[in-house]
Parts: sequence; structure tokens; C-alpha cells
Amino acid sequence: MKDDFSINCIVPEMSDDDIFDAMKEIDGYIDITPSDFRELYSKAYVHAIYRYEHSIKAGDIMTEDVICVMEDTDLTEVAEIFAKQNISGTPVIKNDKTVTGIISEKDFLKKLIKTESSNFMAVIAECLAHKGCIAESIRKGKAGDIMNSPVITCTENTPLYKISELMSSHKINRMPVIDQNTRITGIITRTDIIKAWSARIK
Amino acid sequence: MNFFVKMKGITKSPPSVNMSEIIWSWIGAFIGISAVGFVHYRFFEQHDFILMIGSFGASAVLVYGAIKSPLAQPRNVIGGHMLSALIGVLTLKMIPDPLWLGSAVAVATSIALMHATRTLHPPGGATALIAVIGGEKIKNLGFIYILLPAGAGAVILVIVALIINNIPKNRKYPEYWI
Repeated sequence: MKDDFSINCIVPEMSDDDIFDAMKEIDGYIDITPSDFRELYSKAYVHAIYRYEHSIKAGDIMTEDVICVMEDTDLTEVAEIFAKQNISGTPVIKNDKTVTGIISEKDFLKKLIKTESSNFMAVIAECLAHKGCIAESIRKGKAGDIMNSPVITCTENTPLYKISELMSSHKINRMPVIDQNTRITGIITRTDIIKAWSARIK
Repeated sequence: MNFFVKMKGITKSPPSVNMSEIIWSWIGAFIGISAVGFVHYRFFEQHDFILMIGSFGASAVLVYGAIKSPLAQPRNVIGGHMLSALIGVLTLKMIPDPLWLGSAVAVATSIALMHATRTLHPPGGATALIAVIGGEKIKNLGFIYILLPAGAGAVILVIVALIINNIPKNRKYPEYWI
């Protein structure tokens, strides 16, 4: 039944002593052993997460005001948007709002650095070694040149567990939410997923 | 798990209850068994009927001493006693001899039936057993045994439990009916 439940739930470790202490706080004789309770608890916890991850849909947790760029947006402008909006990636769309790609800081770094590790410090190292800005090489580029395509997307009805699964297996940080005509309706980032869980914890 | 390792046990026993729980268990059992006993001694003076009070003594442990247990809920107490009584009466009719075989079949089958009907109540085993070993008078009762003394006693215990177990602030009974 739980075969599609790919995320390994981390059940808080609970000792028989914890349960023994909790039982002391409850008046009356409780007809269960601490170890039976522990087994019940860990199984119930998995059921609760399963139920939550299936009941929460992308539409419930997505950010609706998505900052997007066009395929022909200059990379300079894309970089400025990232800086100004304090974001690290955006979907790339056409005039009719259909999603054609996604572009992130990582794509800039990959373009600038040809070595295996294309992270920020690699760029710094490269700049220092060449005594200059290596961003020059992409000055004339457009978003379409470095974007990732095709994009991993979901719809507003995609359940939370599926989103987590997709983001984790594709190692991505954001996922555009699209309607049946592949037009963008929102975006889900890792932050949205964390919020979905912390809202539940409260 | 290794067969012998299993015998070591895996956890510690549950904590002791507080003094108020002990006192209310006593009060409940005292009144519950008084009521059942009064009815039985008054109306069924014959020795064979009195045997049945042993089974209710066991029920009292659960109904007044472990009131949250599924085993102590009305469904289990009344259902367990009556279904076990039925098994006991049927067993006596089908296997009147030897006694040891009838006893074993009655108790084992009553457990199976209580499990299957979600009415497991340990004293039901005694109720089934008494139907087989209780002698002529109980045998003569036939299926009446299911209602009297089995069903009636169970109902009295539950009624007393509903009153007594709901008096203290931190106790409530039952957990469920169905």
C-alpha cells in the first residue's frame, strides 16, 4: 500500500523509558506495554505523514506571483532580476505564458566555469587567476542560451509527496506549476515545501 | 527472533497506578460484585449458579481495575460472556464426555469466537468452562444460561461501572460502545 511512499520517514527516536514516563502522567491503568506503544507510534507516524503528503496539493503551497523571464531576455537583465528580487532561479516562458525552460544561478556558473565543480567559489578562483571578470563571455547571451529544457513541472493537483519525490530525484530546487495548456500558474520552491511542513508542526 | 531470545522479554512493565485509582477500583469492584452477588444469592441459591460468580470476579478486575482496556469495554464484557456462554452450552450438548475434552473445546472455541467478533473478554473463558463443568442444574438450564446468569451478570457489572467509573474527575467509562 505504501510502495509509492519513497521518502524515508525519520520517526523521532523514543525510548521505552520515555513512554513509561508518559504513562505515569496519565491517570488509570493503561493496558499496553511500552514497546507495544512504541511500535504503534512509529507506524501511526508513517500513516500520518503518508496522509498529509497525499492530502496537500501543489496548489495549496505554491507561490502564485512567479517572477519569470523570456527566452530572449538578456542574461544581464536576468542577473539583475535575480539580484534585485533576491532569487536564485526563474522559469523561462513564452508570450502565451507556456513554460519552455528554467534558469538558475547554477546555469550561470556552469556556463562560466568549465571545470567539474561549478560553484560560486570556483568562479571566484577563476576570476582571481585570470585577473578579471569571466562573466564577459556571456555578456551577449540570452536566457534561452543557458536555460534548462525540458523542465520538470507539476500541476496544481500534484500531491506533496510527488513534488518532494521529483525535486529530490532530479536534484532541483524549484518546480513550475502549470495548467493543462502548460501555462505557468505558480512555482514551488524548497522553501514552500519547508513552509508546508512547519505550518503543520505549528 | 531466536526462539529462546524471545523468552527474555523486550521491555519493562508498565508503571504502578496512583492511590485514587486503587481506591476507585476497590469501590467499583465492591459495589459491582455486591450487586451481582445479591442477585445471584437471592434468586439462584443453588450451588451451581454460584459458581458463575467466579467468572464475574475476573470481569470485575477489568471493568473496575483496567477501565480503559479494550477487554473491559461494554461490548467485550456483555458480548464476551454471552457468546462464551453459548459456546459452553453447545459444547456440553455435543461433547458431554469426557469432561476434560469438553472443557478444552469450550474454552478454546470461546476465545476464537470472541476474537472473531471483537468481543475478547478473558472471563468469558470461565463462563464457557462453567457451562461444561457446572453440573446438572446448569445443564438443565440449557440456552437460558446465556441470559441467566451470564448475560444478566455482565449487564449488572457494566451498569455499576457506568455509574462508579464516571464519578471521579480523572476516570471515564466506557471508551466505546460498539
